[in-house]
Amino acid sequence: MVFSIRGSGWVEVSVGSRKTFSSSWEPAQSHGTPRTGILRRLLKSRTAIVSLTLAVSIALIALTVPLLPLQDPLLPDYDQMMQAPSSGHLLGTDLHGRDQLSRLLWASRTSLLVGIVATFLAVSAGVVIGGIAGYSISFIDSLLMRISDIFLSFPAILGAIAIMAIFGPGRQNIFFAIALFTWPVFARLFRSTILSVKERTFVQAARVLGASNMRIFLRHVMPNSAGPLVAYTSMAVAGAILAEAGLSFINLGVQRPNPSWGMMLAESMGQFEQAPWLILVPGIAVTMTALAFILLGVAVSSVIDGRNERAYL
Amino acid sequence: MPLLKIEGLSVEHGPGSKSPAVKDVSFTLNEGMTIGIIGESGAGKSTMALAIAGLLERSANVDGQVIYDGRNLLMLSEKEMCGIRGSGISMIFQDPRSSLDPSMRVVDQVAEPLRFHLGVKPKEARVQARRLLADVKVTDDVFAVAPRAHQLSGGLCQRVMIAAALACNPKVLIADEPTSSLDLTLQAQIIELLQERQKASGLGLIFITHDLALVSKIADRIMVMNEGAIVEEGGVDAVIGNPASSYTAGLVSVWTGSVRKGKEIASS
Repeated sequence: MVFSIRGSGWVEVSVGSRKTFSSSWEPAQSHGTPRTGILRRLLKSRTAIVSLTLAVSIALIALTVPLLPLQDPLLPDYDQMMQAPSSGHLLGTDLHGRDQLSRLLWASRTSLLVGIVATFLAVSAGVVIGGIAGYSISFIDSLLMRISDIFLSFPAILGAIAIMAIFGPGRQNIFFAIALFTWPVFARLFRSTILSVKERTFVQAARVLGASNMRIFLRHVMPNSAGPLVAYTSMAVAGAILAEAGLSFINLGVQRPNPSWGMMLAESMGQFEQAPWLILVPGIAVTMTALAFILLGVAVSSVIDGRNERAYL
Repeated sequence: MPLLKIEGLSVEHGPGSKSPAVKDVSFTLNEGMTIGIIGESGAGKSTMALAIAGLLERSANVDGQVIYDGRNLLMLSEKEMCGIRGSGISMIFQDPRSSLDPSMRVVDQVAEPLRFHLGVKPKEARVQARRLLADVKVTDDVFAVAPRAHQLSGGLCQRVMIAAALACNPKVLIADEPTSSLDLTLQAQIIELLQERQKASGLGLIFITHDLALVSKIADRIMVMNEGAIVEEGGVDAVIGNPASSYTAGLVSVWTGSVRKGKEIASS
């Protein structure tokens, strides 16, 4: 072995709640963000484990809903309206006598689908536009950034409400309404990361070896810019889920009688005193789902930054 | 046989600059030859190196001729230059640790130029990269433990950079202070490695440094740069032993002065 252990070979590394000592080949110097073992470090973080478990189990439920022995979420039963939780209806029934548990679980599909598709659209648009801006001459760069400013200047939920009001409710319109006001954040984030990564020595070194601009972008700039993007993506999923709940709450989102958490909240508003579970359960579902993705984003970004994430969980 | 011929190379940074960064530099690099370029920081050494490799900002104004392989590199398109960098003219930098991409494994970084210059398939490129790394004495068991740049020492990183820079057998290597951030032992190892490779392939080496002791040991010819211009050029003995310009004399006296001081400290 040719390693030389120079300087202070012992470096204190604290991960999660444990403090470990490990030897290192070099003094603890930060050279940008070493991205090795991000997954491994992520799994040592309590925040990440809690949020991942939550997010994965919600996703599993959403995926397996059609296979579960649930009652029809759309079938009203006017003999059994607003029943308290019982063995027949584990979470009771709503104003129209529909099974609350079944509606809750079916609604999780809508929530996650909107969260993922809308965020996917926003990330794709943001990466393309931010990437072009980061690599363009200043005129195109400022043009794209001013356009993104226009969208950023609207409060996202107001903008989405306007779009839904113009184009009418429905799933596809929700995707676009949310993505339209989320992409500028990704574009700005990605552009600024690119601008700093582009100036790093290893990019120059790759150019010296004859790599084309495209290759440098794909092989060096992109992987080194992905970290902040991934962290923010997770948080944006939470944002989109909340936005969908909000839109459905004011009847501009998912169309009746399809279930959505926001709509379930709206429908049960008047019955809070007689049937509080009708409003608590979907409320908790929205909160937990959004929380899971926000915490996941926090965990990812603190692992990338090498910060200690114990402040959160 | 001349590998690289530079004639009247001048660089001006943008229209607003008062004095050019590089002024009318001319020299010829032959096969297997080492040219040492010395001068203080800001003398224009690195700017000149970047100009030769066509790596200056678009706003920089480059004049003159850089003739390589019968073509004036300054007239080539960016695409044509991509074909020459790394496979004809390569370069290594001062800070080896930040020259390596932290997100990519070291083997893959050496494999990269093989892939885009020679079109080697990814798997085969990795095999060849391992061999190239073994040539610079970075053995398999090193990257089994430490596959990424931030896990390696500065000396190992510079070896990796040399392996990557020489992967496609370039004829010219520009080394921009390759050993300045390394300690003396590692410095000696890296120099030895470069000289080995030079002997094996007839590599022409442009060695930029401000270490007079180092340059007098390895260079065939020395060029002294000051304020963008070459103030003196010649063989090692002539330039160091009998400097013609007052600037070189000053550099040499500072150096011998510090050597003498070191000896006094050692003997007292």
